[in-house]
Amino acid sequence: MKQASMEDNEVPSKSAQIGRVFGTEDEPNTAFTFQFWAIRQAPVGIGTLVKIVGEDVVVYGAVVEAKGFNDLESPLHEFIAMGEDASGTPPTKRPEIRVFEAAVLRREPEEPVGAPPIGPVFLANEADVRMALRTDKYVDKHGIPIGCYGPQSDPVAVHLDARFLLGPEAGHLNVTGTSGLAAKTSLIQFLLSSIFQSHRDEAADPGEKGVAALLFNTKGADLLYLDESGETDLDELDRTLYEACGLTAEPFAKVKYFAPYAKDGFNLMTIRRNAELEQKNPTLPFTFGLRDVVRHAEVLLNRDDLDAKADGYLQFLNEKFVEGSSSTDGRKGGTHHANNLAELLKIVREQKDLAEQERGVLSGHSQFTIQKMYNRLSNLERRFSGIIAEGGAECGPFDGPFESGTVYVVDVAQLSSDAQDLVFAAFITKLREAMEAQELGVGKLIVMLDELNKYAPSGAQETYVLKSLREIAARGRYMGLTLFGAQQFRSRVDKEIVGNAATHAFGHVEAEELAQPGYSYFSPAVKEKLGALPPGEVLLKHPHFTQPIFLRFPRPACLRGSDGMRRFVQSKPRAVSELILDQVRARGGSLAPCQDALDALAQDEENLANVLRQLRRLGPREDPLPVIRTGKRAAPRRPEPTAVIQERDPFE
Amino acid sequence: MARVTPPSMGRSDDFGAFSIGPENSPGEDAEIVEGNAFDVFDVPFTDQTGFTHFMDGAERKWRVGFYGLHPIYLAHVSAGLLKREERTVLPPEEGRYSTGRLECFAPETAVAAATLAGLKCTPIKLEEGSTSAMVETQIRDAVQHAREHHEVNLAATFENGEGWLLIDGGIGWPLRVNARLAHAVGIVKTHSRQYVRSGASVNKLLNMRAGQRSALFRRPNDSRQGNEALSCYLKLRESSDQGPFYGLVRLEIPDLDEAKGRIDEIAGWVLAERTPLSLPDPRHDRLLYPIRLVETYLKALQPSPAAVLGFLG
Repeated sequence: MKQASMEDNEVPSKSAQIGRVFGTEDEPNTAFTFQFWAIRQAPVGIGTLVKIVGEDVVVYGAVVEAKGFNDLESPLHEFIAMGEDASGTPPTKRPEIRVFEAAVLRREPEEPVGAPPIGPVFLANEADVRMALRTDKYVDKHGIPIGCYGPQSDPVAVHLDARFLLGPEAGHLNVTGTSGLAAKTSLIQFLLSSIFQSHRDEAADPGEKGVAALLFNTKGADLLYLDESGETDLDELDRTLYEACGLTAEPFAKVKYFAPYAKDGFNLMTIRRNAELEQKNPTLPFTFGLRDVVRHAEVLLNRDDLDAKADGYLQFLNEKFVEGSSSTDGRKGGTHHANNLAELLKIVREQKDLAEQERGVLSGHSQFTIQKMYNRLSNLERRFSGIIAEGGAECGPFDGPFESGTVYVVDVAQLSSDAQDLVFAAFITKLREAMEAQELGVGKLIVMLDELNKYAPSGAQETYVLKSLREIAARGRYMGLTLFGAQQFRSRVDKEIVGNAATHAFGHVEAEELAQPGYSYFSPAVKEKLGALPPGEVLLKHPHFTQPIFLRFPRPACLRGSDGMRRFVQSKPRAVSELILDQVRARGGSLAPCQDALDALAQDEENLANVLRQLRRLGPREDPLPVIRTGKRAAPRRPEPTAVIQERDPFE
Repeated sequence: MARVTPPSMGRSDDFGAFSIGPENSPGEDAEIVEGNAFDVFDVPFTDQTGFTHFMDGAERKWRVGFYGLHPIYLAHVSAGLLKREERTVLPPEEGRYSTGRLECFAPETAVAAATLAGLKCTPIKLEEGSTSAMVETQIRDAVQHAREHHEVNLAATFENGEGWLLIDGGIGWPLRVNARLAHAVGIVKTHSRQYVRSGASVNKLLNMRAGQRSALFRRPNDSRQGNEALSCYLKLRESSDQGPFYGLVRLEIPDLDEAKGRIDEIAGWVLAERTPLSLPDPRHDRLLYPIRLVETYLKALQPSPAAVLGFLG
């Protein structure tokens, strides 16, 4: 049997009643779940938001389970009924019922909290969605669109509460999803764009204003073309979703890219190495100074290397020669101070020699410990060439305060795993220090870190990176630092970091991961849907949402990594003089005088690389000519001796 | 895991029903109106059916107390006439569902008390020497009569132009209130009346094969079954493991030329309705699936025992 009032193919409108609540003695409704049946045409599925209208209460719910059955007690009955003939068409169809279980999202009035009424069920319209998700209370002042709920043809924007995403009420976002299925990076890119377009500072809040983001590009090139338009990739659905969210589909206006030096010391190790990109938005170098190296030695050295004695000696070096100045033997002689790794190595070598003369011990440190540390430190320069500053001066995104509305991308995709560890350890520490000193320069700084299960693994020994991430997760929201973490395996990420995230998004998740205890919160049907979620859809948990809801978000309006790599083909490493001229062109400098000045310099690579490093630190409109002139000039040429043949022989 | 429910042998399925005395059965063989003898024919196969509407009634009663030794019942009766469209049986249209409010059936001496409780009451007349079992039977008949009343009223609303109506039970009473009813077929699942008595005819009847029907005979006017109608037996299914009435139904059609001339076609329609099977209903050998759907609909609207208890307070 079917509903007499509804034509077969007619999809009910949003205001139409689509079913009724029921409760049986065996399966009664509870304060937090209810069951309803729905007509066949109703577009109800897992995640659909519905509304019960009772006499004195309205209850909103999200569908978490779906069942369907007819009047068969056993499949055997059907088998026999059809005469064991699968091709027959009986004159009467068996009636079919579709039954759904929904989790209560909200009730109005909120008290008393009782079982939902046995009443008519409606699809949620836009106003209902806002009520159900409680976004009605904050959408105007603090709403940040994160995607849309509902059918593709009629999406309804869903907003996060900025105070619960960026602080101070709560903070941090954690995204789980299988790599390559447009869940993690795409969602974060879209959300960043949404934040930049929607976030409004509280006038009453003290301190810095504005939002900036620091992203680590750990693999591929997805984050390397954020300021390039990928608008042609957007389809009609994407545009509809942008429109529903009230956002403009456009790439990021202000992006700064950073990459380490290649082994040659002047080309940058990045896929963005392309003349056209260098003209538009040159990639900036980042390097670490000696202080960073010593502070993060535990990251750079193997754990076995850095035992208590070695650690003690390293701290001694830091205190005496990196942070301060001292004599190498601790008693006599002039003081020494190390500005770079080479100078520190020279000091250690001297100490090693002195220790051998002083019966094997110097200032309480064994000559063997000093020898070991000398060996390890001398190895660092080779292992981490490109990211340890040769001149000792560090550079990178922390050169100045972060600027509002700017995305900072640190490209470490081509670094070794050890080198990436150093970068994270150093950057996260710097961020934490800047956060604690309240010197971020912006009201909110978002840090995006992919592969959290690698940098903050669950159950692992506490590393410097892990400790810093925990600090940020625990206290960052009070100080304007928000972590957008992403990983493929949420179950393998430190629980403290995951637990401190107030907002969670789940894209397509593999079945093995879904079998972990952390996902028991979801109903079997929700887990099934998560296991088959298409690109561009996520399940979202947010403090205001009583139940997680499924959302659809548009593709970011930036150029995709794979497209960018095709459009801007990575060039081969270039000569340092050519790179200098690129910098001149990028800053609109006069090419001819700069070329002349360059020709006048000593042409050894070290000299030219120094000039290049200084040029890269220049602002976009600063004149490059004075910087080129600071380079070491070539020695004046001596005139060639000329042979003079006199007509008269003087020995005659 | 449910298993296949074998059809049960009902009270009226007792083979002895065929040997009940002449006082309860027609004294002689029914009048054959198709040929000269009680013959059996193969029904031409068709997988099409012409039935567009189905009608059934339902009743449910609860023994809620005693007056002395005599039982008092609450009963709910209803009838529905449902349309089938594109293989789907639809809920009843306006006026095609008939029911009364919960009614009390009580011995006449208890009626006053029941009426005071706010119940509509049908008094059961007590006779000299009435026993509880006799009162119980009287109440059963009264409830059945009330149900038939709803069925007959519904059947009266059916117009021949709407299609063909298949009624669960005989068509004698519907014909009495709607003599113009031409496109109606009754399907009788029980065999408490014997219309053939000769050994040869009984032998033919009980050895019918699935898909065979008997010759048409006239079922006479009857105080229990209403107006006279034409009738034939139809074997829906056969099984060597089951009793002689397994899958045997009796069809009733109006005594009109159209129905009479199309009896093979009508029997074919009924045979086409054999799928799907009405399992797990124990009457699945004779209960056609659309009739079961009507019954399911009616039962779904009956008050639950909890509601009856609530009504009683």
